[in-house]
Amino acid sequence: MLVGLLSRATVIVALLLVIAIWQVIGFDTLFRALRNWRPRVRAALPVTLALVPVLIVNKLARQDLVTISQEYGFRVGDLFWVIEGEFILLFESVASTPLTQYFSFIYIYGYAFLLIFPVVMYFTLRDSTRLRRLLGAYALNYTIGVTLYVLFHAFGPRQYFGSDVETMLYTFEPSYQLLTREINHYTNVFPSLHTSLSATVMIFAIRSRSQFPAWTPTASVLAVSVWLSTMYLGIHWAIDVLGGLLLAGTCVWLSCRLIGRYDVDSHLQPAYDRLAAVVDRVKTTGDSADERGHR
Amino acid sequence: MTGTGPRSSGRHSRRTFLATVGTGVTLSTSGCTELFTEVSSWGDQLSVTITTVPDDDDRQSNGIFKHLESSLRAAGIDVTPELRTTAQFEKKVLIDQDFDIFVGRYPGTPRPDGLYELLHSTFAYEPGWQNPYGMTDIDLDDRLERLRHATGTDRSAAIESVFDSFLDTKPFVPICAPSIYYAVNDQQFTGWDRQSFRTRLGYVDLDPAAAVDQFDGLVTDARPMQNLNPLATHYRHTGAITSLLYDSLATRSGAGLSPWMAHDWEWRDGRLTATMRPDLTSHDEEPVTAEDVAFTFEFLADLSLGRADSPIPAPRFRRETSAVTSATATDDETVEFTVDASREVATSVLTVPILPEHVWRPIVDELDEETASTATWLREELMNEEISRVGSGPYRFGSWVQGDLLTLDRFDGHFSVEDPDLPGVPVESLVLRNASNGSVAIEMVDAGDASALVTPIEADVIGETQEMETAARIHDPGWAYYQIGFNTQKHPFSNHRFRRAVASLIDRQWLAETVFHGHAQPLSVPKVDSSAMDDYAWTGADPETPFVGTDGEIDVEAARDLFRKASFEYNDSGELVVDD
Repeated sequence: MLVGLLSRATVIVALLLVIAIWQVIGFDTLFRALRNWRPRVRAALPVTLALVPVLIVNKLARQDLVTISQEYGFRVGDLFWVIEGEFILLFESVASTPLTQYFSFIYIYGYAFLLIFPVVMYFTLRDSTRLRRLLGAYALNYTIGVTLYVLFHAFGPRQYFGSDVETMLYTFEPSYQLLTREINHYTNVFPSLHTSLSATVMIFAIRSRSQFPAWTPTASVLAVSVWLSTMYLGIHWAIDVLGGLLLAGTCVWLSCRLIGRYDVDSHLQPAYDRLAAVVDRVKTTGDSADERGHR
Repeated sequence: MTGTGPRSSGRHSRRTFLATVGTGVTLSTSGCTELFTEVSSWGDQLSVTITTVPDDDDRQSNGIFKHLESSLRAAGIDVTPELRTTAQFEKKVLIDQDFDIFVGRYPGTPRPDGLYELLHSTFAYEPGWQNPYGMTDIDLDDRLERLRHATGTDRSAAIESVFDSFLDTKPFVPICAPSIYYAVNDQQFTGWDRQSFRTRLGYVDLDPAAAVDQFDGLVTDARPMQNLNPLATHYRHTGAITSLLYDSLATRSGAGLSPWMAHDWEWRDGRLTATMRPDLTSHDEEPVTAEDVAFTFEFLADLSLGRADSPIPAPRFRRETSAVTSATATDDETVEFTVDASREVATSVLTVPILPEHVWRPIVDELDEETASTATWLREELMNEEISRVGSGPYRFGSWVQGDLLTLDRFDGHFSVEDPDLPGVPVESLVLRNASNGSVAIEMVDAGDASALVTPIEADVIGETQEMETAARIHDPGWAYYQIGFNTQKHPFSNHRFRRAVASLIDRQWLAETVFHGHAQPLSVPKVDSSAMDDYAWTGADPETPFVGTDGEIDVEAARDLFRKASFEYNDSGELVVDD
């Protein structure tokens, strides 16, 4: 079932990407950038590598992180309930099946697309700063987000309001829970990473509106839809969404301050040289072995 | 921070907030917590914390919680929720006994002497499903003692006398017993109707189809994938999965007991003598003898094995072990129990899992002095998920992905593999997967991706079983029921008048019809297997504390009158006030 869900998600997101590439970037531009991939990948590599350990830690130690959060974290869910009460149930008054379908689609597929597409888009720019800053902001969002998840242990509003949230994602589409469970634990709600990452993309889209004018309104509509979907589907408190927006602002600001200032790449030059030498040597040995084999 | 949602007034909400800081949020320094608790008592409105589980873990508990919350609010009582994952909830309520009111599902037992365990004051300060309410009522104790020793027709009378006292004193409010259904796939196994997933035999007394060599079970309660320790009360519901790893002398079969490690037993004059099969071995190839049985009872009665000044009993199996005065191995295959209870009560000691001495004794011996003699530390240590899972049961621990997946492998050295009179262990491995929710599980069983959903189908998705094409739905009597429990050690829950008033705020009939979609039987007394239940069967209302209101909506004035009659007062803003 999970495999089926994943393949469906892959197909849908790929389709969205193709349409967006065609409309926003143009295939010619993308192919030109791909032909000249080396400097671009090299520029983006250090910041991407920074993200890897966080992803690995979260994947391998998720159960442990949840346990730590359970033992030592601040339990804030009950407090959120007291503070904002039944605010998110307001969405129930405008609920309809098409709206639930729309927000479920946005929450799963729209969100994935929103995060992946700008990476492709900024990749086509000659100046890699934008791409690096976006990736840097992703890494920061994720790192700080996971830290806050350990620090704050809270359940989302649907756990309190239960069947009152008739538009709950898993009531509408129970199998999605198999998918989301692979990514997150249900006590991780503050802040909303869906909100912070989509807001990050939106801020970047606004900043790059002169280069990609078609993307700015698209990204904004999608991002705002993602924020609303998290509440409409009963997954997040309004407080989580506000926390997510704050986190997004902080991460974009930090990323812009940090990235483009230091020339990390030049420090990596010796490493690249060594790598190239090793590759060369492997190649030569392989070739000569081949030759020997042929003889 | 001051805007607190649509229904609260400013004054009220500030206090609510402070109360929450005091009770709901974990602060690292206890001094700080105490300070905030003090602050919350400046207010005079009664504020209660309701401890329960999130909707994902149990939608029916959530439904009862919401009903209780709105009813209490309407009666002028402030409410703060306290949500915990199921294991953490049970730790909080059963082990730490740190709660005001809880809403939860009690695993239940058909045995009427379960009432003794549930309500006798001897267990008031012990962790586990024994008297979590901290109830200490001398009259009730007397009736429970009589129940424990009564036989024949006296027994029915004794049960009724306990029920009468229960209805008056309301240590907890039984809500309803959910109808238990499972989804099973007939193409993979047959014989589903012979036993129940509540018991060991439910997993082995099955006939696999040709070429099926694995049982693929699904659960919606993932606790067996987090901790398989038979002592960890907060991770066990019926304990069926751990009973596959750990054998007992007899095994539950239908409504009775069948021979298991013991092939025979005899009851005479307060003495129960069990004769075990010869040549039993544990998963690590060590012999398991009557000595291990004697050790198990010594250990369960005192986890410190004599190292603490006073015995520290295990938090599970108290009903069984508390009746045992001594358990002695007279030879390798014979155990003699002296039991201070009737025959009906005594035979249940045969169902206690046998913990091999060579595994458990060293664990206790190696503990430092302080841990071994401090009850809370010792219990925590021995309920650990990492403790060896070597037992002697039909399956041995294979591997797990914690929280997601558990694999058990057939133990080829098990006696049931050879014995033609026993079901044997039909398939090589038993896999349990966490299905996230009932809808997904039903779909997977129907599609043949799993053999069965072995945890009860939640009431709100039972309807979905009608769309199944290949899978079947089976019914199981089940003894679990939902309840609202009071911490009777705390004011004002210590006052039975207050508890009775709260009981009148709960519309059990309405809950069974809506929250349980009609798949539940409302209860006025704890559910047990006895003809005495007939006279106390639900007739639309609790005989002592009928619901004040209609269709789940309380009659506010009538409700407030109940509290006034119980000597509680209301202030001008309609809040129920308590003196500190």
